[in-house]
Amino acid sequence: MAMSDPPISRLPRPTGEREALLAIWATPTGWRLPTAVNNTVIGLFYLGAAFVFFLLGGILAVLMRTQLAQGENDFLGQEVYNQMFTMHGTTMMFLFAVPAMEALGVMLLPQMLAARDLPFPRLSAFAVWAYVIGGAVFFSTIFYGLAPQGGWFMYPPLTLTRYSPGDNADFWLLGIGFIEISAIAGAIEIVVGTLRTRPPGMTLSRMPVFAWSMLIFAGMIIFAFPAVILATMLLEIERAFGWPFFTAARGGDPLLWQHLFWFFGHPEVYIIFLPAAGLVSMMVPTLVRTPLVGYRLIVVALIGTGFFSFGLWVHHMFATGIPSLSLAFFSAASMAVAVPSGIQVFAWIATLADGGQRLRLTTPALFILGFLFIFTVGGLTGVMVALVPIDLQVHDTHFIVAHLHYVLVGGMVFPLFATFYFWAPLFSRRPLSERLGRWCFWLMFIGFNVAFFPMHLAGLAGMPRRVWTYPADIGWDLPNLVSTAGTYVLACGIFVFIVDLARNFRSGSGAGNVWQAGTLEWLPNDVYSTRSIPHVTSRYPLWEQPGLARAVEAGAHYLPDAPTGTRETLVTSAVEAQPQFVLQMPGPGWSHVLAAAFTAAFFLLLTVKLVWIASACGALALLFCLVWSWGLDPGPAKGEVPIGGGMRLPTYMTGPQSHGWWAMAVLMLVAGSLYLAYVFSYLYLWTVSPEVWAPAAAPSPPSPVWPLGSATALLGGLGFMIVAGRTLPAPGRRGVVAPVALLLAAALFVGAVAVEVLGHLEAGLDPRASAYAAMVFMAGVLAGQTVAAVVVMALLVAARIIARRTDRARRNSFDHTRQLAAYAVAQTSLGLLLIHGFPRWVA
Amino acid sequence: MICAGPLLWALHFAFVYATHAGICASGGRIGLAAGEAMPWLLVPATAVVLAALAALAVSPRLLDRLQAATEIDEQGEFLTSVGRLLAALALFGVAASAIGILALPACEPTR
Repeated sequence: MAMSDPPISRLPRPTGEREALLAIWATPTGWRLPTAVNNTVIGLFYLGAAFVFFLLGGILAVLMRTQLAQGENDFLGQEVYNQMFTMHGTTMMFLFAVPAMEALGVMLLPQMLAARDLPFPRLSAFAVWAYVIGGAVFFSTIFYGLAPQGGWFMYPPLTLTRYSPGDNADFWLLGIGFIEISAIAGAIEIVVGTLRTRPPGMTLSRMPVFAWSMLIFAGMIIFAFPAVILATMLLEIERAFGWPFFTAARGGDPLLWQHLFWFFGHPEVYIIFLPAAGLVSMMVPTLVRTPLVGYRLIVVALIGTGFFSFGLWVHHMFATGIPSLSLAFFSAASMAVAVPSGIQVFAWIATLADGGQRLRLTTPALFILGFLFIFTVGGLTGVMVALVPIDLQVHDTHFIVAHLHYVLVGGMVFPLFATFYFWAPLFSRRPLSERLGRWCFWLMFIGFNVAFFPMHLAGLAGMPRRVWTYPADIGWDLPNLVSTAGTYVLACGIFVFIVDLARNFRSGSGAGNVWQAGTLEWLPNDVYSTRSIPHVTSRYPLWEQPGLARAVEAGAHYLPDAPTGTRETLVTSAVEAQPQFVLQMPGPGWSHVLAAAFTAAFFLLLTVKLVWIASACGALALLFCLVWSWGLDPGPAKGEVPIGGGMRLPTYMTGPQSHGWWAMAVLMLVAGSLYLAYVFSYLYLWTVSPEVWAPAAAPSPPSPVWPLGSATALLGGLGFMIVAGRTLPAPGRRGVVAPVALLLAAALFVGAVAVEVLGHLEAGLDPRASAYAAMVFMAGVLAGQTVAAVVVMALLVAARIIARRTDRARRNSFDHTRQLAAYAVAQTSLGLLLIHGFPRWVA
Repeated sequence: MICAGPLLWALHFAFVYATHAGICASGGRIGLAAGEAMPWLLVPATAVVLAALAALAVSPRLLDRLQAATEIDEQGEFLTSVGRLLAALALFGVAASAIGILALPACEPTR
């Protein structure tokens, strides 16, 4: 829409309207700053924290390389070295790589989609605080010799209590376990944000590639992270209570951990790579002033990579003795996944070629060219190790260390630095320095290749991974010395970047569209994002819709004001981006910050076995979550409001179109994935250890009366939920029937779980006796977990009904509780079928 | 439904891996000799999936019907073409994984 087109909203806008937006969206200052929820503030904090963890992980790497510079070195002892490589890997993978990509999503996605914020601002803020506090405490363990030592992947039996006594492993299991909650919260935001808060006219075919990559990133988190969450639960329960999931002597299997961990671990590396690829797909067209060649193929490649990455995990287990046909499936898939990655590389090359002479070798361009080279080398060695015979030769050698760093540093860190230089002008009053940027690039590029290329040779010469020293004079000294020198050069490059950041980055209104880019994040913006939400008709609106920036800034497009007086954005339909309703969002507050702090405290205090204090912190976390929830769900009181273009939209939506319904659906997918991982684990252990399974070797399953009783209670609870839904009071009325029905539903759900657990206890089953028994009780744990969430929500909703904050019209809090309750019933019922039906069927 | 192709790939992959792993792990417990059972289960399943993927890749109308598109517009055309390309990619993935069924012994470990 050019300035000459009829405006969607009447011009000129009334005086005071922009000032009202500024006031509503103002960032808290002074000691209230931690309460901020604006995506730009939270995103910058998130990215800054991730970068700090990158530096900390990098320092560990420099120390390790110093130790390995020569054979039989005694710079670091073995135990310290073991903690260092574990912490390096864990920090880089869990505390830097995924959070950095989430942070960029938080910072850039709303801007690219011209949304005023993400759909659940406090949820993002909660996730960030939990991550920062938890990550800081977790990393600090290296200073007290309490850091885990089992490698970043923490294989049992090494990480069982017998071989890893002390709290070290528990810090990993509990610390990283709950940081994964942050990732899932972020995934919920991103799915709902990309699918429901795009500007009108931004159909899926016009969506920025970074939004596509983040959508797939979030989808992968939803299905991959639950497997490792289950694995960490199982290992922690075995360490704490002796339930033998991974102990072969009692029917467990250490390989179960490997399956669960790598089912997460392989998608994890694509979770890390795909957003970086999406960023490159945004930067390359801008740097050559040409639309992306092969947009459609890149979307196909991103989705294809996302799916294929779930079929690769056993390639981390080629040396475990699994039958060769099984290995062949994964070997083939590991090669097949190179095809969509290659499609993206060729699309970028084609775009660069199309741009021809227009490419100037600015710092972002240099980092992108560096990425193309390094990532391609890493991809080539990846195809090599996808071949089983080669992998058997190089498994657990430094060849793999070289490969993984080429793909991860090349595929993520280089695009990240390109991103810093490219998008800094959006968040800083001054762009970063081109001169320092070139120094940074060349030091990093040369340093990286000098550090990691010789590792291919060291690995082929037989040098294993994770060794704190090696014999001098067996031919490994020279490549190691060269690698160490390269590491120091790489570190210098990063130091130059820090200097550049300190000298030039000044947070505040951006330096403007310095690249003359075509996408929406470069529109004039302030704390409220854009002055109005644009109508979009192309993939590069700033190139193809002349005058758009001025029209948006003048308030000529949608929602140039805040008709409800609160923070708002537009919710649109998932495919065609038709406006549907105006979303009212919460602003700054303390409750989510305190909930995050006490959640972190709960998990970390449990690690050091301070159970009572941990429980108190857990209760406080729950309390602040309730306080936070109490203020949500504003209801339809504000009616419909004008958004421009002659449209009036509701300010509240219930049912499947509501953003909360979508969030709950995503949460159910996460919970379902975790439960499927549990079902897999149960069946897997049965194939491995049928001799410990009921009815042959264990107490017979309890009489069918027990599961039938449990199922009856579940259905009864669901019935009362339905009754509650039908008896919600009219707006403004108090209502008694619905709260009572909710309380009865809660009681029945709890009763269902209790009956199930009691039945097994009564049958004489001991969860420590065998992996079968442990799995049976684990079903009870998972059922209890889900039911506990439903009970808390049901009690909250009952209280809200009594307080007249939930009713027949203002009903989202009830509807989402009923959604989760239905899921809990389905999951628990499946569990009953498995636990009571399967042993009878195999008998 | 643009992900119909990759979803079929995922289902096929899960089926062949689970069936193969289950049969090999169970030995003779479930009454099937591994070498006999494997081709009879895996090859037909693969053939069905390959046929379905080929149909999705070749026929735009099939995907349009899955998406319940009533007219071909820019958006519908984009989603249909993405769906077809994904089906073609998935076909390649299924074929690549399935080659092993024809070439390798049923349950032996690597030598």
